[in-house]
Amino acid sequence: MSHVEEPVIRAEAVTVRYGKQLAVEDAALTVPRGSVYALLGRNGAGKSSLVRCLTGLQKPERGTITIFGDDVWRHRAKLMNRVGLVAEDSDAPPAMTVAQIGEFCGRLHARWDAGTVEGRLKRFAIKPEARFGNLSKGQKKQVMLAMALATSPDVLILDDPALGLDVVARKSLFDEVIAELADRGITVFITTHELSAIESLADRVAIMRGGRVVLDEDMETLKQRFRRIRYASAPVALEAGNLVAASVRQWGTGTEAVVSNYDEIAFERFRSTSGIGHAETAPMTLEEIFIAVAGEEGART
Amino acid sequence: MTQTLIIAAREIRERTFVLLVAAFIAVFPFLLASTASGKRFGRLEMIAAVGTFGAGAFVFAVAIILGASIVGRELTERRMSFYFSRPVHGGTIWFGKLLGGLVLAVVSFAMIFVPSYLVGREKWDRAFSGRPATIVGSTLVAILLLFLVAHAISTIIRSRSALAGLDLVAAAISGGTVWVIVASLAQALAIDLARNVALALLSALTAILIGAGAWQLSRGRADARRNHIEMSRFLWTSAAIALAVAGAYTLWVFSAGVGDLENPEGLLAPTGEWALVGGLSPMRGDFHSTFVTNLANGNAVRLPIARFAGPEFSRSGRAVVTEAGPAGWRGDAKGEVILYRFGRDQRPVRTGIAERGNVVLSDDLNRVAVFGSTSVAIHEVDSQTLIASAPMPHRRGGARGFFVTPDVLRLLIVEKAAQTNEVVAVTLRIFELDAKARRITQTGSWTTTGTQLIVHASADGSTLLANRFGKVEGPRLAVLDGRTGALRASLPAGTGGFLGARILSDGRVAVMSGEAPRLLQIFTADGTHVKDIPLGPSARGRVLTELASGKLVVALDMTKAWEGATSKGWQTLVVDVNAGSVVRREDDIVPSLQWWSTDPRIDTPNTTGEILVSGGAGELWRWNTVTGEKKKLI
Repeated sequence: MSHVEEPVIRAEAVTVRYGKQLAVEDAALTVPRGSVYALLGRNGAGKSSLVRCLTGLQKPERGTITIFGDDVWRHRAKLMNRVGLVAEDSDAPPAMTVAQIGEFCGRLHARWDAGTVEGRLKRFAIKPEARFGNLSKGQKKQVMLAMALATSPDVLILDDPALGLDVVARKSLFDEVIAELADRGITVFITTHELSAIESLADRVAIMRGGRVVLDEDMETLKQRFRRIRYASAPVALEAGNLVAASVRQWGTGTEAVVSNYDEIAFERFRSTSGIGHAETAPMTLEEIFIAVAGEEGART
Repeated sequence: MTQTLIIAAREIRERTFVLLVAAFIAVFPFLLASTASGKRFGRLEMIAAVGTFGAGAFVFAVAIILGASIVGRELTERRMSFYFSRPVHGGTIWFGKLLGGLVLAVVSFAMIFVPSYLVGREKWDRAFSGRPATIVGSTLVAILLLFLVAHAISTIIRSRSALAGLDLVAAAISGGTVWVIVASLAQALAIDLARNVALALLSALTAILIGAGAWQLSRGRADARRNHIEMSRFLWTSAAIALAVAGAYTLWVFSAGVGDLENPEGLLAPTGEWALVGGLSPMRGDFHSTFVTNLANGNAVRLPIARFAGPEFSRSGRAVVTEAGPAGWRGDAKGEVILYRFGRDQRPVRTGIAERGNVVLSDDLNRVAVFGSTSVAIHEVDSQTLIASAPMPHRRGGARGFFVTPDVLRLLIVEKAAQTNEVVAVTLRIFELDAKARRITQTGSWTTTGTQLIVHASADGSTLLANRFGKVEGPRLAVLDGRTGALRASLPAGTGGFLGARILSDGRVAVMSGEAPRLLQIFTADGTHVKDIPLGPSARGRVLTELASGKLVVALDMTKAWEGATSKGWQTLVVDVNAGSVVRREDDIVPSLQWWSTDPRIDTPNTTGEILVSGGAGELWRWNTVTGEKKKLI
């Protein structure tokens, strides 16, 4: 009998609606323990609504969300002892100094590590006596990240943490902070538009489009099954090789297709039966896959 | 609790400038007092007055501003997630913020008020009519309410939701319901109960608003619109429950039955067939119920009237008429004269007569006269028409009267030369309002001196007995002509109370002497003394009723005579006037008595021999004056 480890976060059939507008529709995802999980999507795809539900800030119209097996809406206060959160909007009161924010949070969190805050702020070159309202957008993010890390979380939820960060800080966030957390086995759930940065860190990826989670799988599998195929002739039906086209477009005088279920046998079958002659395949970056899946036209995934 | 305090401390720390402003304002009364106008007004009075008003005005503004912003601003600026990222419950966040806001307001109040009070307290009474504790208590309650109401309004407005329209409707309905509940009790003159119900509703509102804040943050969390929805849901659901409870209680109060009466009072109709019964009931405060009870079958009908509406039996005992209800809040008449004619009306009739004043009923039970403060009017009940009216001839005196015939209303107006407790000239003026001719005419007058002049009339109204009070010279009692006021006889006697003398049905006059030992003195109509009947050592007494057998029922106040006695202090006697002897004495009953009637005529002799008395543990009994038998009525 095999032991299946309970995922850290599990969302099932989550639907969020604002009036008549459907923001999240029937979304489901699972975040394995110890993974770096990236939730991707274009602006307005429903990521922030889903994150608000994941952190117990908002009750979905339908569906259930659990963190460590507990319903997050009902047990939010208890769960926040194990969850570090950096919200999309830096939300600390502007009149508070950074030190006061640390002091306030430290009194409320059972596993508070003041040294973590101090160290992070020093690295970010943010003075403790600075008022939060006077900080730049990026600095605010850094402060909130420092606070989230100081709670010694078992899972860290980051909603677009790179927003407003300069290049150096952004690199530091991904290369040092998230990488370090990943090394320590802390589960990280992140939404971001920094696809190149997260590509090397994420174990699992989900993509939202139009409020739906259209893709949720391991990064490795994802990158294996997505391939770009280029050939010199006009578009022909990829179905001949049982390949599913995520997107097809003209490429010079030839055709470029992105397939979402690439394997070599299928590709060879396609090439031999379609009569296209020479064709070449290339692996795709996460960004390319994202564009193919979440782009203007959408795609079959 | 610790988390609540941590959040409260943060709020206070963020808003310490409020305390700095309070410190500045606290100095202001002292600065003002040192100016020339301060010296003119009185330094200490000015410090007390400016300090108290300044403290009140400042903290009310603080309470409103903090209430409107302490949660609402963070919601609209999307900063509430800062708190919800912490392991704290929504309720804890609310109570922390509420506590912080209230501490700021209360400390600010203390900073301004306490120094000015301590310095100016010697002159406090000159600056304020209320006690300091009352003013401080009221201010603290107002701070809490203003904070909560400002928070609720801010939550509604800041959500920018069309649901605010529903809140407005719900608020209007709730306010209207509160008004109906409280006003209905107030108009029934259950003033204490109305005030208590209003206070209970205010307390409920406070508790609901506190609960609504906790609920909205627990359920709405960081979303402004959701906060609004959840707050409104809690607020209006709870308000509906509170109002339903208050409404049900009010209905229950109004539903008090005869059997619920506690220490009931009663009055028997001259025929002995019907009784007016009323009183307070347990758990209903000062709400007073009045019933007409048919003694033959025990059926009771509620009179829809306020306390002190003065229900009176008609002369025949076949109907009851009451005054119009009390004035509304703005002095406009709300009630109307109620008439209940036994065997003729299915239930008490609302006559539509809204004029306020004493009322009398004609013997045909179809006309009602209202003695208002500025006019007198005759209404016909069945046709609901005003038959005649006239300005009240003399506004300084109290008017009584009766229908001589259904078309002629006689008014007796006692007018004092000055409104004082000293002995002054007092004039009895007699008028008649002719409904057919629609004309009021003075038919007579009689002038004397005294502090008070009480007038009773014989059963047919042809003779008046005038009883004057105060340290006057000469006879206190006079027999007058009922229409002209001409003096027929002066009686060399006086009574100690308003009800101590009575014209008997055969024209003789019975007087309870004004001094102990009490005598019942009998005079003929021309003032000739006939006999004295010793009654006892009491200092005060009342003639209650005359029986058809010629006997009189009188009551003596024995409070002083029975020093240390446990009895209720009244002794009721049946006196055989012709035999000159007391035939029955009862110690432990208190006769029910209508001590004032708009119709000055004496009742027709009691044919049943029964009167209503109170006795035992707050019970109302029918007492047979002939046999001494007592039957419990309630």
